[in-house]
Amino acid sequence: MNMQKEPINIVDELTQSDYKYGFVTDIEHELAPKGLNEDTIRFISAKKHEPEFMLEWRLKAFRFWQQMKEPKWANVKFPPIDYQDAYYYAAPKQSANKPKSLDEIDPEIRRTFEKLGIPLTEQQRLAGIAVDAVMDSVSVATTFKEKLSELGIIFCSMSEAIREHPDLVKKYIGSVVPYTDNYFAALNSAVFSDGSFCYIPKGVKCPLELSTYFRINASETGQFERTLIIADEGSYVSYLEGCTAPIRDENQLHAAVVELIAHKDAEIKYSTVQNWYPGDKEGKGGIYNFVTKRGICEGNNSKISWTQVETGSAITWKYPSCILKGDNSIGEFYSVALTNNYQQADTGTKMIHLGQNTKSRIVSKGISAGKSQNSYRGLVSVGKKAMNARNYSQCDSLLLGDKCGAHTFPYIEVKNNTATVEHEATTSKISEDILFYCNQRGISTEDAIGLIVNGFSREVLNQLPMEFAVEAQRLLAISLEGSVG
Amino acid sequence: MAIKEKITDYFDKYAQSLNGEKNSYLFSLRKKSIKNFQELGIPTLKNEEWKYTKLNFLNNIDFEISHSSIEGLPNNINISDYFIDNFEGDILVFINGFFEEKYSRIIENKGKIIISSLNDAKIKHSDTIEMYLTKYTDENSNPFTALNTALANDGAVLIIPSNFDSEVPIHLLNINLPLDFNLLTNTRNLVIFEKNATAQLIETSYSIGEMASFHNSVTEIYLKENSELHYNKFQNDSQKSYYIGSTQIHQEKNSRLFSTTISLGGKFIRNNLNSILDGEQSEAHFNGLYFIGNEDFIDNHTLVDHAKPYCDSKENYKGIIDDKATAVFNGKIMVRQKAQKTNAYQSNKNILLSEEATINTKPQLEIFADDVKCSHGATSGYLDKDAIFYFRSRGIDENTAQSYLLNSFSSDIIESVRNNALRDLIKTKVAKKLSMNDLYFCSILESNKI
Repeated sequence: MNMQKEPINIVDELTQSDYKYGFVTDIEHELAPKGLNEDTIRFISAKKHEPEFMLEWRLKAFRFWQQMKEPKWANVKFPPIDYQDAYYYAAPKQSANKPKSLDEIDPEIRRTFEKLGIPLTEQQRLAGIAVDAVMDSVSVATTFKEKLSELGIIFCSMSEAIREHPDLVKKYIGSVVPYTDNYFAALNSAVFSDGSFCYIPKGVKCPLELSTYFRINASETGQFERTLIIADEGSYVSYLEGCTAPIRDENQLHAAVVELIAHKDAEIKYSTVQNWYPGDKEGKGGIYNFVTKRGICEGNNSKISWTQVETGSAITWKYPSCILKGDNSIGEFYSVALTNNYQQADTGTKMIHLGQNTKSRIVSKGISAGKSQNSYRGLVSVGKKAMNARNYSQCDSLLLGDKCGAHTFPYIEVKNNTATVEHEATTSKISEDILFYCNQRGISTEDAIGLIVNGFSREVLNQLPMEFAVEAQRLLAISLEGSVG
Repeated sequence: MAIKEKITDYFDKYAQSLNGEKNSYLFSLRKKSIKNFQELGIPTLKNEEWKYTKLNFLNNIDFEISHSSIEGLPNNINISDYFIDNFEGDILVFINGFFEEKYSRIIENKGKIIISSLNDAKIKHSDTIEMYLTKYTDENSNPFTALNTALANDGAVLIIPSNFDSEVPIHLLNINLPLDFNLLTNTRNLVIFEKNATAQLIETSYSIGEMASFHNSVTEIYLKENSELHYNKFQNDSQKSYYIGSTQIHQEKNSRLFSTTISLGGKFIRNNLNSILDGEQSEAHFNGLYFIGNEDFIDNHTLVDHAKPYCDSKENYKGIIDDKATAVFNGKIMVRQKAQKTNAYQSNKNILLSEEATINTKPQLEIFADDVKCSHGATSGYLDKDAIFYFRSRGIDENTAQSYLLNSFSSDIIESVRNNALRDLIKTKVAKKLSMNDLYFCSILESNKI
C-alpha cells in the first residue's frame, strides 16, 4: 500500500514547489496611460520615433482588431479580459536614450538579469551567447553586437530595427503573420512595443547562439513583443528565447508574435524555454500566454525547427507553425509542456505542406499534474501540389494524479495521394510496475519519477542547444522538486 | 423557401392537425425539439462538429417533407430486390419513412421479441417511449437529431427480452421513393436490450428515383446488464441520396457492443455513432470501412464516452478514397474522471487512390482520469510501392496487385461483420469495386468457407 501512496505525496510536493523567479525589481517605470485607443498607439509609436509607415500599419491593425471577437475555441477557461484595464506600454526609466555601452545600464536592471542567470556583461564570453534582454516593453541590452555585425548579422531590438533598417522591416513584418491573422496577432500588431530583430545575410552561419530574454516586471501591464528573424540564402541561425515574470495576484497578458523567414537552403532553429509565472497553488494570478508563432520555409531546401519547453504561464495558448512552401523544405516541432496546479495549456503546431517533397516531424510530450489541463492541438495539412509530402507526428501524455486532464486534438487534412501522414498518440500514467522495477533496483520512488519524466521528455530536450538543455532540465527539476534528487 | 422555414411551417401545420395527441408526452418532446432545431439552425463550417462537412445541399435542393405512406408501388420497383441475398432473418421495411407491414418479413422472431413500429408503439408501448426516448441523444447540440425528434413519423421499436439469445438478425430497411419531388424523411428507431439479451441488428437505407432523397435517421439503443449487440450499418446508395444517421447507445454493466459500419457509396453520408460506457466492464468495438469514389462525401463521427471504470473500447476505421471523393473521420475518446482503468484504442487509416481525393481526419482524446491506457493513431498514404513491385516481379499486373492490397487492407473490417449473408454481399460489392476477376473473387468466397 505504501507503494501506491508515495507517488501521490510526491505529486503534492511537486505542487508545493515555489516559483523561483517571482521577485520584483524596484525600478521606475514609464507607463503609457491605461487603456487602449488610437492615442495609446500613437503614443507608443511616437515614443519609439517610428517612421510613418509603422504607425499606419499599427492603426490599421488596431481598427481591424476592434471589429474582431475574442476566439473561444481553445480548450481553456478564463474570465473575460478587460482590454481597457491594462497598460500597453511600460518601460524601465533610464537616461534619455538607450545606453551606449553595457556599463551604462541601470545596475538594478543588470542585477535583475544576473539574478535570472542571464549574463549581460560581455566579460562572460564563456557563455558564448548573444543576448537581447527585454524588460516589460523594451529591450534593455543587446550583447555581442559588434562581433556579430562584423559578419553582417543584424541583431538588435525591434525598435532599433524599425529606425535603422526600415526597408527590411517593411518588407518582412506581417508577411508570415498578417495582422488579420487572429485576434491576438491583431492586438500585438497594434501595440507591440519591442522585441528582437535578426537578419542573417547570405551564406553566413551565425557563430553564436542568439538569445532573447523576456521579463515582465511592472504590474498591470501587458507584454506585447514582436520577433522577426530572417535567414537569407544558405544561412544558419540558432535562436533561444526565455521568459520569467514576478509573482502577482493579477493575471497579466502576454501576446507576442514571432515570425521566421527561411530563404533557400537556410536553416532556423528556434528554441523556447517558457517559464512565465504560472499562478499560485489556488490558480490565482499568472500570465496568460497567447502567442502566435509561425515560420515560413520560403525557399527550396530550407528548414525551420521549433523546440519548446513550456512550464510556466497560467494559460498557454500557442501553436508554433511551419509553412513549408519551398520544395524539399523541412519543418520540425519538438515540445514538452508541463502543467501543474490550475495551469491550462492548449498548445501544438501546424504543418502546412505546400511544396514538393516537404517533410515534417512533430514530437509533443505533455505532462499534467495537480488540477491542470494539458491539450495538444495540431494540424497537418497537405495541399494538392505537395507531392511526396511526409509527416510523422507523435504526441504522448503523462498523467500525474487523478484530477488533471490530458487531451489530444490532431487535425489531418490531406489533398494529395502521394503524401504519407502518420499520427500516433498515447496517454498513460507512470505505471506502478515501472516504479516497482526501479524500487527493486534500489532507486527511490522520488528518483524513479524524476528518471521517468526525464526519459519521457528526453527526445525533446535533446533538441535544445547545450546551454539551454541544462536550463530546461533545471526547470523541469524545479517543477518536479521533491521528486528529483 | 429555405429549409429551416419550410420545416417550421410544416411543424406548425402538423401541430394544428393534431387533436387528442397534443397533450401526449411525445408531442411535448417534439415541441421542445423543434425549438432546439430553430435555435441551432443548419450548422456551418464554423461549427467544430461540422468543420469539414458542407451542408450546401440543404440550400440548393428543395426538399419536400414526407408526410404519408405510399398508396402503392410503381410496377418497376420490387422491394425484395433490396433484401440481402440469402438473408435469414426478419426484415422491417420502411418506405418514405413509414412502416410497411405488407412488404416486411417478420417470421423468425415473431412472438419472441417485441417488434413494433413507432406509430403503433406510441399507443401500445407509451410507457417505454416515455422512459427512453431522447434520454441520451444530443437534442441540444445536433440540429438533425432535434429535427428527427420533431418530425419523425415512424421507425422501429424493438424490445429484446431478458435472456433472449438469437443469431437471427433483424434488418431495418428504409427505402425512399423520391419519384416526383425531392424527399426528406425522418425515421426514429428505439431498441432496448433487457438483461442478458443477445441479438443482431442491421440498418440499411436506399433511395430509388430520379429526384434527390434526404434520409435523416436516429437510432437509440439501450443495452442493459450483460447484453450483447452486433450492430451493422451498410450503405451503398445512389448519387441522389443524402443521409444523416445518428446512433446513440447507452451501455450498462458488462454489456458488449460490436458495431461495423460499411459505406460503399452515396452522395452525402454522415454517420454519428456515440456510445456511453455507463457500467463497469462494458466493451465497445467500433469498426468501419468507407470505400468511395465519384464525388461522394462521407463523414464518420464517433464518440466513445467512458463514464465508468474498467471499460474497454476499441475502434478501427479504414478508408479507401477514389476519384474526387472526400472522406472525414472524427473520432473522440472521452475518459471521465471516474473512469479509471480504462483501456481505449482508436485507429484510422486511409488510402487515397486518386489525385483529387481528400481525407480530413481528426482523432481526439479527452482524458480526465489518470490510471488509463489510451492511444490513437491515424495515417494517410498511398499503396506501398515496394509491395506492388513485389507482385509485379512475380508476374502480377499492377491493377491486380492493387486489388489484392486493397482487399487485404479492408478485409479485417469486413470480417468483423457477424452475419454471413451481409458479409458476402459486402464482399461481392467490394470485389466489384476493385474490378477483381471472377476467379479471384471465387477464391475469396472459397477462403471464407474455410
